[in-house]
Amino acid sequence: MDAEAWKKRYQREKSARKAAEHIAEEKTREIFFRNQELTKLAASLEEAVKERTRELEQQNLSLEEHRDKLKNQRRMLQSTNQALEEKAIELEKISRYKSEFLANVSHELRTPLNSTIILARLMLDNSEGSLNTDELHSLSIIYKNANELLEIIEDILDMSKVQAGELSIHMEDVSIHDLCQTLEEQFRPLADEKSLAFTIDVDSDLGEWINADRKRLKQILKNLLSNACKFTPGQGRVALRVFRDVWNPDTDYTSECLSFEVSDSGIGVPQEKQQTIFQMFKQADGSTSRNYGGTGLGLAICRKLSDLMDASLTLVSEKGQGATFTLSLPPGSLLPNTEEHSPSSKDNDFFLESAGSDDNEVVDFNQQTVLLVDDDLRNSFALSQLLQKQGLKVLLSENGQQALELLETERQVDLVVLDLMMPTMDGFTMLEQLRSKVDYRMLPVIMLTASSSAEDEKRCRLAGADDYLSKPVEVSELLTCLHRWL
Amino acid sequence: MKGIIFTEFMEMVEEKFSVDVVEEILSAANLESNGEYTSLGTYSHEEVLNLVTLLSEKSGLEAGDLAVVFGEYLFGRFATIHADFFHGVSNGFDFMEKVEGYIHIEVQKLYPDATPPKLTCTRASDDKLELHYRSHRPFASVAEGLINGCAAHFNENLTIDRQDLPGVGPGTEARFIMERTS
Repeated sequence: MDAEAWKKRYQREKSARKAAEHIAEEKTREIFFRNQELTKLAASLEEAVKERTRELEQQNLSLEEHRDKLKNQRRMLQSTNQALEEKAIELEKISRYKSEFLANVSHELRTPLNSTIILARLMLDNSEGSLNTDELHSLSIIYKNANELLEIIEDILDMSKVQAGELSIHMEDVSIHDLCQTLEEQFRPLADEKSLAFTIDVDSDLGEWINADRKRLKQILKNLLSNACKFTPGQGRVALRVFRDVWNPDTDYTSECLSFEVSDSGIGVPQEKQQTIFQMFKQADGSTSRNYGGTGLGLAICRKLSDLMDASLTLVSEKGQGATFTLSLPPGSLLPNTEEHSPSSKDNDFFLESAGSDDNEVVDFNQQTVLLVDDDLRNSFALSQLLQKQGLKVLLSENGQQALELLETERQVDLVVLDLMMPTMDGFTMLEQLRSKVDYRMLPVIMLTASSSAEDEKRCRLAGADDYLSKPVEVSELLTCLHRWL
Repeated sequence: MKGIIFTEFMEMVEEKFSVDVVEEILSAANLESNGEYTSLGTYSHEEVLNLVTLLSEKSGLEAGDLAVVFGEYLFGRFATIHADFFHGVSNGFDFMEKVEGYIHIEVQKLYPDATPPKLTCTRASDDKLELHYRSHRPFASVAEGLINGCAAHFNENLTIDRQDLPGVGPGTEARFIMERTS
């Protein structure tokens, strides 16, 4: 190959080398840029991760704050709850104290009132004819006022019991006839005095017997009738109607029930007051108490008692158009009309009261000896006056211990009237000791106490009491009871 | 040192002298690389100094002058190969000011192991520039040649006052004070 050819070949190779170098450089540049992009991408990814991490941290932080806030709120709620609970306990305690206080005060008031009523009643009899008309009139006012006072005390006591949750219901079979007769006897004189047209109407399709709490039912009806008489002006009309009614009339589940409807032509209750009069210490307006008297407890107690009996007590009235109160006893109160109740049923308060109230039926006793055990001397005095008048001998003891000692020396005792709450030895302990002695197992013992709790009655009867009367006892009731055992 | 300095030096010798002179000084130099240069490689700067010395002996020209001539030649080649560096640059001073902050950085992108000289420009006025050169290689004369090449490229007349500074040895540091006269 000649020099010229070598030169050409050299130039060719040099060009090829340069081209290769150029390509390599381009490739290197490309790689650099790719690398740069990758680095950027990595950096932006890293930044995104960092950003996301920051966001998560922020979220975490706010979640933690939120959690702390919730924790705080929960703590606050807990402490509030605790404070409320403590307050509730305190209030309950206060309420109980109040109820106990009211019960105690009522008891203390009832005991002296008891003797006042008995003595006034005795003197009103004027058996020796020594009192003139004015004196008898004064006495009748004392007797009436004492009875009114007693009713107020009873209301307060009931209300405190309701509030303390101590009021319970005792269902038994009650004769509608006897119930209505008692009400008739009690309200007829009142109605006559004000020249009111007073009627009691029992639907003929009703049976004789219903199932209810006799005492509470009577209490509600007495209250309603007493209100009706009180708020109806002279020449007006007061009516009690007893009839089959529809239970739950506003719902799909209706059945038959028993309703007592007390209506009058009195002053009525304005629409806006029809709920408040059922609240404690509330009357239709401030002037009611001034014009008509009363504590404002009657209807509140009626509503509570009605609730306790699962009954409903409603009012329909317009101002100046009279009022109609309806007490509806739940369906279970209606009993099938059968005769089997009659024989045993005569032994109940209504019968005895109605019978007892008829003075003609009370015959004098035959100088039997009654031992009267009571620490309240006023009460003992009043009772002994009453019993001596009925032809009984009366021995007095101030407590159980004294009575037991007296029984050791004076064996001619035909019956014991025993107070429950006494110092030194209470009636319950004395009764137990008496029954533990053979000689006195059969001696009739009538418990007499201001406590009206059913628990006490049960306890006394278990311990061997033959009868149980609660103070203030109606004269007729006591005499009937004595007749039963002497 | 980047291979392009070597390949361009060879080109210059080939062009200004002859292929034979290239072969002569290469065989005389007895180089480690055996003169098998590519622009992509990196070679010891001692080799190019060695070749310059041999060329000086062969041609009877001063080694320093040869270095300056090589610098001028090299600038012309750059202007050809990397025309993109000259876009939007209208005069020599502007270009010189771009070298450190732009071109050397571009070089390092392609050749991360490259160690270009450190150039610092201080503009006293529109027509007066001080360029400070510092390197671990004694190439101040090549730098001077490059400045000449730059002036020629932009068709400018420059007076260049070169002050050699001690640096890390002769030719490693210099200050060029330039004034543009037209």
